[in-house]
Amino acid sequence: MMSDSTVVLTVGLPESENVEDVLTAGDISLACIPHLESLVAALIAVGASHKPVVLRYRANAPFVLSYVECRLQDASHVPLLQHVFSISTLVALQLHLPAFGPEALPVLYAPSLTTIVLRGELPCTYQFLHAIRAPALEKIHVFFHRSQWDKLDTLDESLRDHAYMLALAPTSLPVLRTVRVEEVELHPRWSDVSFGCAIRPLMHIPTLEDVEVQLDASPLWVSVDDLARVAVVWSDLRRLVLTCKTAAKRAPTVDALSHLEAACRNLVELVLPKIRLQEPESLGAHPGRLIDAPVGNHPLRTLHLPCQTARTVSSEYCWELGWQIEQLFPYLKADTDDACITRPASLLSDWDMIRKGILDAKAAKTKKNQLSAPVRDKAKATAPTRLSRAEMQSYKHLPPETWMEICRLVGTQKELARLARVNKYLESIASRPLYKNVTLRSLEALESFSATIAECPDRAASTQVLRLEWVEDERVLTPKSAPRWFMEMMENLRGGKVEHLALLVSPPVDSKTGVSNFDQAIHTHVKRMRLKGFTLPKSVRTLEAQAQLLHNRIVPVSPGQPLAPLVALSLHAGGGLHLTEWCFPALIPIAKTLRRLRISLEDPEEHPLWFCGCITQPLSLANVEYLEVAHVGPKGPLGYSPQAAEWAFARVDVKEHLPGLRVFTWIPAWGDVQDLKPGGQHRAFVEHVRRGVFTAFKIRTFAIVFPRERCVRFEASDEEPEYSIVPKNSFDDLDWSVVRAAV
Amino acid sequence: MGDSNRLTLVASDGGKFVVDKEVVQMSVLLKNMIEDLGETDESIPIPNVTSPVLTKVIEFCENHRTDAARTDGPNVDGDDARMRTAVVSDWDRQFFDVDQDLMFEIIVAANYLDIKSLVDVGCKVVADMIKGKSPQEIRDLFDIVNDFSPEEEAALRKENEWANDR
Repeated sequence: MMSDSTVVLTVGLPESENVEDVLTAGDISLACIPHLESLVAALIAVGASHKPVVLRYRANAPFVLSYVECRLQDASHVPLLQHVFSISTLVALQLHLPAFGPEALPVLYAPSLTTIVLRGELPCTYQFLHAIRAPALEKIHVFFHRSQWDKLDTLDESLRDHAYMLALAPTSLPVLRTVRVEEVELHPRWSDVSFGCAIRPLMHIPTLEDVEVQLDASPLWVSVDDLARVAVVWSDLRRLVLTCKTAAKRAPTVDALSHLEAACRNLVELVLPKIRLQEPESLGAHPGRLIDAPVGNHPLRTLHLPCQTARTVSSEYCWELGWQIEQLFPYLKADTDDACITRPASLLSDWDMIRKGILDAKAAKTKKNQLSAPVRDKAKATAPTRLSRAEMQSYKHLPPETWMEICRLVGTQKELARLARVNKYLESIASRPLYKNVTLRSLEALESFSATIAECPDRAASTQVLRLEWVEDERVLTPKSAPRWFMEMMENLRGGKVEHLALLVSPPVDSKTGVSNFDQAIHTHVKRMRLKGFTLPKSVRTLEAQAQLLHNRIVPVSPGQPLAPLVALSLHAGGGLHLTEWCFPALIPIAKTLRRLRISLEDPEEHPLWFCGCITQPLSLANVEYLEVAHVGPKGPLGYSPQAAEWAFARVDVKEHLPGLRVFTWIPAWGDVQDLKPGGQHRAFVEHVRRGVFTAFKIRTFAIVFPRERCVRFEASDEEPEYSIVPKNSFDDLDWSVVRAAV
Repeated sequence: MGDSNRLTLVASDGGKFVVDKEVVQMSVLLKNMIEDLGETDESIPIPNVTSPVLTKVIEFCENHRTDAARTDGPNVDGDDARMRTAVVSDWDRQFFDVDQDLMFEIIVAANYLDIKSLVDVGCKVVADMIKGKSPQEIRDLFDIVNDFSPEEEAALRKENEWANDR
C-alpha cells in the first residue's frame, strides 16, 4: 500500500550546534513539503531532538502525504500527532509507542486516517486507541510485546494493567472493520495470554468483521465465555482467526461453536487453537446430542484447529463430533488442504478424526439426497428454511436481539407459537424461547410434544425447563398410550439439557385417592413392563413432583446409568408425608447430592415439621441445607395441639435426618404479618414453632414467608429474638416461584 | 457553548440538539463518552440516528430523567414475569403512538445508544401489539409477507400444536 519514495525528517532545535539536530528533509526543502509547517513548529516548541518522523509519499504523487511513521519518546509527544492528523491527505500511520503512565492521553482527532499500525506494549496501544477519534479508521494492526507487568493468564482484573479495562467507544471508531493483533515477543513468557483479557477493550466495537490474533511466543487461552461474548458483540464477524504456536492447556468446549453459529451468521473463516474435548460416558444415537446443532445454512467455509494435534478422546466420539459440526456448518470445506490443514505430525489426532467425521457426514448426506431425490423435494417444501443474518438484520429494521426481547415479553407459549407461524424469520426467533421453557397442560399436549421431539431432536436439545402441570377432569379417561408418550418423551430428552423437570399432574378436585389417573397409569405401565421405573435425564438438577410419583416410579439411578445429580427437590403431598427410606427408596441414591428440599402439604393446620416426627428409618438427607415447608389449602383456625406436636417433634432424630440444615422456611396457609400481633393465637403458635425449631436443629435462620413476598426472619440467638421483616429473596437464591414464573 | 451542564448532539443529517448532560446520561453509550471526553465543548456526533428520531429519543429521556434511580429496580433487571405483566404508562404509550417505521427506528436508536428503559418500553409496546393476535393479524399489523408454503405452515402448526393448549 505504501510507496517506495520516503523522505526522512530529522527534527531538532535550530540553534543546536549538532548538525544532526538541524531540521532537514533530505534533498527536499521543507518549504516544498505541504502541510508540515505546524508540525515542524510544534516539534521545535517541545524541543524534539530525535528523528521521530518518517514521511512517505504515495508513488507517482510525490507531494501528497498519505503515510506517516512516528516513533514517540514519551506521552508528552502525543499531542504532536494532532498536527500530523490535521493533514487531510494522511490515510495511514505507523506509530512506535512508548510506555505511558496511568494518566489518560489527550484526545486526538484523526478525520482522514483509514489504517493505523501500532507497535509497543499492548496496554499502551489501548491507551492510544482510547484517545483517538477516527471516523474513517477501518483497520488496525497491532504488533505488541508483553509488558513485564502483564498478567494476562488470570481472570483477576485487579492484577491486570488498567488499560485492559478501557472500553473503546464505537462512536470514536464507527467504521472499524479489521483488527489484527500480532505478538512480536522475542522470548517466550511461558504464561498464557487470555484472549478475553487481551482483547477486552475491542469487545466494545460492534462493527468488527475481521479479527485476527496471532501469538508467536505465548500460549493463547480462549475460553467458551470469550467466544460467547464474541458471538454477542461481534455479530457481523466474517473472519475470526486466533492462532498460536503453543496452545494453552485451557481451551473452549465444543459449545463455543454453537454460540458462534447462532449469532455470527456471516462468519466464513474460523480458526481456533484447539477445543477441549470431553468424551461423554455414553455416545448417543442422534448426532446433535452433545451440542445444540440445528440443521441450518451457516456460511462457514473454513474451520481449523491447528493445535488440536494430540489424541485425547476416542475416534468414535470425534466422528460423532464431526457429524455435529457438519450439521452446524453444512458448507464447510473439509476436504481441501486450505480448509483443514492436517500436518503429518497430527495424523490420527482428534482434529484429524473430527475432519473424517465431517467428510463422512457430507458423504452420507450426498448419498441420502441421491437416493431420495423425490422425497427431498417434498422435504424442501415442508421444512422451513432458515434465514441468513443479513436477511434477519434487514427485517423490520430491528436487530434479532430486540426481537428476542419482544418474544420474551410476549410471554406465553401460545403467543410464541402463533408468532412462530408468521414467517420464517419470526419462526427462527420465537422457537428458541418456545422450546426452552415448555409447559404441557394436557395429555393431548404431552402426546403432541412427545411426537415433535421424536421427529426433531434439535427441539429436544433446546429444552431446559419442562413442566407437566394440569388438574385432571374426572370425565376424561386417561388413554392407555399416555404412559408410552411420557416414557418416549423422557427417553428423547435424556441426551438434552433439561435442568428443571416438574411432574405435577393433580387428581380431580374431589378425588378420594389423592393420586392422579396419569400417575396411576405410569405406575401400572412400569409394573406391567417389569421396569424399575423411568430414569431421569442426567441433566436434571431440580425436580418438582407429586410425592406419590416417587413411590417406586422415578428411578434416578439404575445399574449402568449415570446418576442424575439433583440439587433441589420439591415434593407435593396431598395429605401426610413421611420422608422415610421405606416410603421413598428412589430418593436414597440421590439424597447425598440434594441441597434444597421443598415440601408442599395440604394440611394447613399442623406444625410445619410434623412430617419429621414419629417416623422410623428417616431418609438421611445429609447435605440438605435449605428446607421449605409450604402449607396449601383453605385458611382456617389453627387446629394443632401443642402437646401432641411437641411429643412428636421431640422424637425427630435430627442427626440422622437433616444434619446439615441451615435455613428452614415455612409458608403457612394462613394470614399475614398482621396476624403476628402480640397476644394473638398465631403469634403464640409461631413462638412455639420457633422454640421447637431452634431446639431441634442447629440452624442459622428460621423464616416465615407471607404473601407479597414478605417474610419474618429469626436468626439463631441466645437472646430472646425479635423478628425482622425482610424480602424473601434476601436469604434464598433458589425461589421456586421464580422458577415457575419463568415458564 | 459555554454551559458545562449542556452539550450538543449532532444527528446523522446534521441536526443539532443542545441537551442537559443529565438527560443524555440515560444513554450508557453517551455517558461513557462524556466520561472519556471530560469537560469539553465538542459536539457529539450520533451517526446512526436521524433528527426526527433523535428528537423523540431526547423527548423520552427528558420525560424520564427523574426515573434514573428506578432503572436499577427489578422491573428492568430482567424479571420476566414482572416485565410481562408490567403496564406501559399512558405517557409512554402516547409517546409510541407514531407510525410504525418511526417506532422501530426509535427502538433501534435506543438499542444503539444503550438506553435500556426506552428499549424496554419499546419492546413492551410491540409485544402488547402482538398479544392475542393470530399469525395473519400479526402479518397485517406489521405488513409482513408470509414466506411459508402451505405445506411448511401446516408442518409448523403440527410441530407446535402442544403449545396451543390453553
